[in-house]
Amino acid sequence: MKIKWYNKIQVRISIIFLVLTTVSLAAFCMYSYSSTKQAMHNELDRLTKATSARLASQLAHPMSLGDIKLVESLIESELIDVRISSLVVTGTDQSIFIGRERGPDGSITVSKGKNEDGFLSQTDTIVYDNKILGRVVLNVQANFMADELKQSAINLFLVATGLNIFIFLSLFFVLRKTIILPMIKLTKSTSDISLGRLEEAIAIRSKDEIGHLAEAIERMRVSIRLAIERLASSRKAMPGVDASEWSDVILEKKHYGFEFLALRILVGRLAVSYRNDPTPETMRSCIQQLIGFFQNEKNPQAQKDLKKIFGGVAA
Amino acid sequence: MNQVLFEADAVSAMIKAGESLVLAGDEQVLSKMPKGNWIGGTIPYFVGNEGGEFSQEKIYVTQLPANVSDVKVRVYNEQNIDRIYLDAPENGLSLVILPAASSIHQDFALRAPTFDSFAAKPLIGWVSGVSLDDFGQLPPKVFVGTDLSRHENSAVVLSIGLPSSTYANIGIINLFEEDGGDTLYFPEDGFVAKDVSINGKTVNFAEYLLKNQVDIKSPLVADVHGVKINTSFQKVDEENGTVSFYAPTFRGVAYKIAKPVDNYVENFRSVMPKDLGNKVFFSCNCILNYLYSELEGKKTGSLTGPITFGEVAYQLLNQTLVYVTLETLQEEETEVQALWNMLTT
Repeated sequence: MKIKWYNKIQVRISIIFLVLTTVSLAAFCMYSYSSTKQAMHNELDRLTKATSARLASQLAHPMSLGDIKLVESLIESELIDVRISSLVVTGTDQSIFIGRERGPDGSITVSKGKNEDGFLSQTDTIVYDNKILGRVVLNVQANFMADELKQSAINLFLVATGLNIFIFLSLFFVLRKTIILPMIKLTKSTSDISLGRLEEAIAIRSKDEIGHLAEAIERMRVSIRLAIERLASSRKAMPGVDASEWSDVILEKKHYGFEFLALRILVGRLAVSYRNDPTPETMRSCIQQLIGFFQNEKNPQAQKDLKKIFGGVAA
Repeated sequence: MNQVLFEADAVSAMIKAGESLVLAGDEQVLSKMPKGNWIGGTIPYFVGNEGGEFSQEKIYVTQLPANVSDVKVRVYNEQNIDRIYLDAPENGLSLVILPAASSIHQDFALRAPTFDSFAAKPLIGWVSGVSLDDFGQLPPKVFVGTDLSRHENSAVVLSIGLPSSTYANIGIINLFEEDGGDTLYFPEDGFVAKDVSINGKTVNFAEYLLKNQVDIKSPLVADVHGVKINTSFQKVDEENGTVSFYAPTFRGVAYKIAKPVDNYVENFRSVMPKDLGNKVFFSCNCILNYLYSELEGKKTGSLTGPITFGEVAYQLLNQTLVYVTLETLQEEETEVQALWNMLTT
């Protein structure tokens, strides 16, 4: 019987596992994205504050001397860090002393204002000899962090997807090898048993639950085969008092090599009875006793001895 | 090795505790037993764990396994002894005790092979006796514990049902072999024979034995499909020209005189099945083996049991050790048996 693909255990388990791993990996990605974002924010915040404070300190002396070139040089050297979007130095009257900003193409241009619309902004006072000379305003651009986060998210997605596909395929094939194929074999074997084909042994030797199931089915196959053989044998072996095999036993025509003590004693007694009164009636009575003996006897030795009479297995 | 010989008090306690037992002991000690589910036979000779022993104080106890069911005690006389095989459980074992030298003993010995369902169900047992000093003066007896009756001329049977995965397997150990000499045919069944046919000539059997100086410690042996069935000599009466036996001889059976057994214990050990293990439920050996082979104080392998005046393995035997094992069908065989039962019922 053909099983629809969506009813297959392999597909069902794989899909359930796929959903579970996808949800798990998505949750992991979201957590990882959020953590990365927070870490980047903290790092930029630290950078902004540290750079602004350091620059305010470095600018104090050149500002006191009015060394514009040195101030420009210091500001431009800070802008080498691409995360900084603008740096503006103002005087005490808030007028721009020197300002530089990064254009959309990354080029450095003269800033027209304080440009405080960056992602993060920090202002520090420039003090020299206890006298306030001005302020430095530093802005960090947001798009840089967004780019990094986007790249990180893409990486996470690719790793998660790859991992998911790997897990799905591994599970699919492991399930197929350990459960599905043995189940298909067992299904075929049990179908064979149901159709009376009892000769082929079930060749599954795994130590797991499937192996145990296979063992049980194999025992069932052997039991049914032996019981049917025994039934067939008993039907065939005990055709009635007229069968010559019975009289051969009573007449002790050959050495059967019986194993069962009770049978040996009984046959001995029946043979003597017939020798003492060799009439057809005695023979019939002896055979009936013998048939009755085998019909009721459960001892396995008796079954072997019955085969020796009718199965041609005379010792 | 489990204890098998007990003092009377210990056996009384077992009976009072509700155990089903088969007892062998002297009449005096058996008569002290309380009412309960037991049968017994008189005999003061045993092979215990320490070897052959004579005791009129101890009792040989056969305890029934825990998994038996349908324990029944039946008493048979000459009128109903022919039902002994018919009454036996479908899957089980019957253990019979017959008093020696009684008419029920003779009747069973002579007629058992003609009873309905002969050999179709396992029957093992023994013939009770007395101390040899008392033989002929005190009658051997059997005891029925359920009503504390004792009988001189009845057989008592304890039958047990076994689980479907278990079956009883009776075996015998007989060390005697034919001597290769004359083949003897007796003209009729009986415990006493006068004439015998040897090589087509009828001669007086007593004269034959005396003339040929036959040692009557060795029994007559009949080969029945490989089973050696002994018939032990009791007495040769030269005056009346008769020979009496401890078991009947049968018309139509070919007998030979057995070769003497030189060293019973050594020979016994060599032929004892090696795979008996702890499966032996009951065994007994013949008083003649005990006497002629001087078994007192000697061990016969791991087999213990009463020393008896006759043994029963489906039919009466002499000078033979009989035993019964309770065999468990292999798991596979149990399943097959279950299916077989289903198919055939």
